Amino acid sequence: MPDDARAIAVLCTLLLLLGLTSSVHPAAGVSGARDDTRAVDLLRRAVRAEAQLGYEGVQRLSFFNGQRTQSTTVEVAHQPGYGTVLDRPESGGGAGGLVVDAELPPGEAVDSAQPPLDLDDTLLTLLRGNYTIAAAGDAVVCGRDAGMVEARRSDGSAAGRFWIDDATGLLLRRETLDNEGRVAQSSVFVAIEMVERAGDESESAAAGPPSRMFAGSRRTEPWGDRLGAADRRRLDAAGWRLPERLAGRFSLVEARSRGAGAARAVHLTYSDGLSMLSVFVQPGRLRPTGTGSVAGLRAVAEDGATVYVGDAGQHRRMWGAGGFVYTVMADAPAESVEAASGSLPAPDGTGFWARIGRGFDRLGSWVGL
Amino acid sequence: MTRHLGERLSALVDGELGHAERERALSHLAVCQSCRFEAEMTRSLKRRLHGLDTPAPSMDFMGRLSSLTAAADDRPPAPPPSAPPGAGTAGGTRPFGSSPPLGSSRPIGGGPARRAPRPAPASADPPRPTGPRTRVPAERRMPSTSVFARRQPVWGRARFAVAGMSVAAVALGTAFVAGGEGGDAPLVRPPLDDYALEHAVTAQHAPLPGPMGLTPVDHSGPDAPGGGRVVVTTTGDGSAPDPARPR
Repeated sequence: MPDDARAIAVLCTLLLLLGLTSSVHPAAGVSGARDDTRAVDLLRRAVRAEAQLGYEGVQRLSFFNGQRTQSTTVEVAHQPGYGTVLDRPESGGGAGGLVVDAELPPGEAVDSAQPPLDLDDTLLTLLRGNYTIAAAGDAVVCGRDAGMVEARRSDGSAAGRFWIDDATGLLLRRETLDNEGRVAQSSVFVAIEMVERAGDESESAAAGPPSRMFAGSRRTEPWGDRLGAADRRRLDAAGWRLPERLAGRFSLVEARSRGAGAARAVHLTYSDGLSMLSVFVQPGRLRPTGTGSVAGLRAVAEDGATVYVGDAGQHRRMWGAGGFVYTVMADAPAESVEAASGSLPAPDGTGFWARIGRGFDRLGSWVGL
Repeated sequence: MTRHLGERLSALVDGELGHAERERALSHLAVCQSCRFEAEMTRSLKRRLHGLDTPAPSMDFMGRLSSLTAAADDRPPAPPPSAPPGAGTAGGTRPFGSSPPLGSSRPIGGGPARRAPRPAPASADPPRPTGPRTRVPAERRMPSTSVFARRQPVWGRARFAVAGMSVAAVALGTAFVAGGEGGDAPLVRPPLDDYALEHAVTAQHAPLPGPMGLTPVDHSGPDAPGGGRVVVTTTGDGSAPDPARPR
């Protein structure tokens, strides 16, 4: 039958189109299905290098806040198993740098093959799930040959770029781009020197930091209380709003807290594989100024509510909603931060109907809706 | 001294005595403190019982509503109350003893008016007193039971509407109270420097750490070594980094 044959042909075509569409949609969960194997290997090598190589260098950081680009230079020293220190060159060194990535006190042996937060797999999975990874050629960065890897959106535009040292696998440069192709953040080594390690990793860690930059630096560690899924459910039942996902492809990768009771604060770390976004939640409310500034953030009116935003540098937003204060800090493109913030409770409005809506929300949450 | 009034006292209070009998009873009351006290108590009791009959104004209101509806429907006006003449003077001013007999008012809920069985008047005088009365227009009189029963669905709908509005008002009021800004939540000032440091530490833990925020981070707390102000990064207007050159 010609009609039946035509109908079957149309049906097959539709099924084929449906299959093709689902295979390229980022939300389809086909993580890394179209990734370039070489590119993924390069990223994995960079992760291993960060956990195994010691280095000192100077990095140039750049940040685009939507209107202008700001840049600065920092000195970086990294010692696997001990930490990373960052300092401004003009501080003269030894004035006290910030040591991060340090969870063990000096002198204690560590297994540097296991990163402290075990974020590697999580973030790489997110990166491959949200973007398509592809090799994008070779380049020279800081006088060293490097392979370039690109993370592409579903429309083919670049969302992030990585330059990985051919010789060591170290990440020499990286960029995050916004939807319009502008570089939102970048970091690049303008000088780098590998630090040879004596003996095995535990001996190196036990021997202490080799760099002068570590001298007098303050060790800083993440908040101590890690919140598991059960902890977050308990807090959620108590009225906290700790979403697992935020708009803009951000997924919760870690939750920590400090303090207790009314003084408790929760730090939620989200990532899309490229950028890190922090949400701090604490019970309380902001002083209803409506104007002026709080903690250096400027008050702006958005949809009848007051939101405090940072005008320069890192994206910062702060607002009160439902008896909690939310603070967002992110090193990510502006549109990503705005989208992610929209997934959190909306700022408390000041009008009658805003109050009514807020009341119904609270009543619903009290009865478990 | 004459005999006490006895059962005539109740008839006097109910206004069911004839003129002559009433005059005699009043004369007796003027000299008999016991009967005067009993008459006062009976009158007080009757007043209280009438006080229970509060739905009467609402019935009147509904009757007028029914009349209006009937007029709108081009129907003949509601017939006068089925009670005997004189029984439809609710709301009028009455002299002492001229109020309707006890039990003649409508029960709560608008049931049909009933007259309690009473003994026959002691005299042949007309059964009703002739005191001044306020004449109520026909359209304001209570409708008959049958008319009211016909309009019962109207009142039912109105009752549902009133109930719905009440529920909505209570819900809005509750939401308004619950929607207060923060309720009893304390005023806080988020420690942004601590937050920035925590964010920087966590972000630097990423396997492929990116550039941290360019906002200065001050962690020169009392336990900071050397008391130095340590800055992760700082703002500036420098140029963007040179792009990598192709190999």
